Amino acid sequence: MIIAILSGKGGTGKTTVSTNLAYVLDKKGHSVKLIDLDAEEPNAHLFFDIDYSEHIDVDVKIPKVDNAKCTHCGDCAKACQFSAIVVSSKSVLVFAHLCHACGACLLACKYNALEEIPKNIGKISLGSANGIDFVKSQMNIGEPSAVRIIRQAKKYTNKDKINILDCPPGVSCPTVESIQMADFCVLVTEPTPFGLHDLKLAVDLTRQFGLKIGIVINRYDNKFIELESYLEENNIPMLLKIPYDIKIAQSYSKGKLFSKEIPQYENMFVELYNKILEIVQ
Amino acid sequence: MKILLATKGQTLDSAIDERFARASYFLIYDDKTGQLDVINNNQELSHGAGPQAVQIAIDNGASAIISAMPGQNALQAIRAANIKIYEAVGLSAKQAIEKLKSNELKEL
Repeated sequence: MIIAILSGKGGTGKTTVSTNLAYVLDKKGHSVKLIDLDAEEPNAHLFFDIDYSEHIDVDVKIPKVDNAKCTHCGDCAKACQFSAIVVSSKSVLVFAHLCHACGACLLACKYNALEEIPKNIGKISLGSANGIDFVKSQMNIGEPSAVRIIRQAKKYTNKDKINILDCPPGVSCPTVESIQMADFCVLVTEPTPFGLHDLKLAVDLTRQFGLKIGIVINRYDNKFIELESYLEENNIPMLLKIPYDIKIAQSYSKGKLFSKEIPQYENMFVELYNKILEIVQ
Repeated sequence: MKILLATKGQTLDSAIDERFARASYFLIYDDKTGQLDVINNNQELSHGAGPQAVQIAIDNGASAIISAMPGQNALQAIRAANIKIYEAVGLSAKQAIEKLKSNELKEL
């Protein structure tokens, strides 16, 4: 099973839910794989002692001009949606840091004057997080898109395990790439107008892909009732409310798993998993 | 010679924009014929505005650009295309063209 943890808004608790769910399910005897797909800012590893076994480079292919064949017709620059190529009568410039490696310029070139050369954009690290299978994706600074790294990292899901995908924030390409193969999406939100606004975006996204969803409210304080009204009106299942508890914040600030530090909170993640199972089946 | 001016408005009385690639308009002025073409630079690129603006200059046959200081990507493309670039912030397009003719503009 693949469970994607996403949120729309950043900082709501995707990693908190991902890491604690992974820890508790592993402790209860499930076979778990935790995959950090937030390649722009991965931090699930901070909550474990990771024993890395392998690092795999992720390369994309970017165009290189063969000046002997180029006629400076400019078709490659017209094909590029990212303005990564500028063609004049005297030169062809490829801006590698703007290139999204889509290959459109190669298709557009009638003179076979472009070849592809590899460019490293990040890496995937495999390891063990205190016994849990762990995958970390990491993009190089300054790269325009994490999508290719996420696509590679997703290949490490294991159909015999419970795969927990710690997804990127937002509702754009990296998140779309992260959630497409999920059996279930957990949307983590916070009880604020900001949390609700971005939750609606995330709900719209998952509905466009016809994915099954449920909600976790983090830092729940029983005050912002608009959030719960929205969930009720739209028949969105509530899976878990994580209380607004300073002990959880203290544990998090030290890079600890609060379900381990505060045993009374362990069982909520078992219940979360059971509710997911109920909906998926 | 055709000159691309990155401006805030659509006429030669418009001020040179403080930004090159994200200027509101590009005026293509032919100093031989006096012909003026106006390009609405209403682009929504998050990245790549600089290279795109230079491609517009190239495609319109400009051999000089008058604008604010462009960014690194744009400057690199301007140099590669062998286009001259002159800085003229605080002037109208018309004033900038006059100053270019009398060699009073700073070439970047």
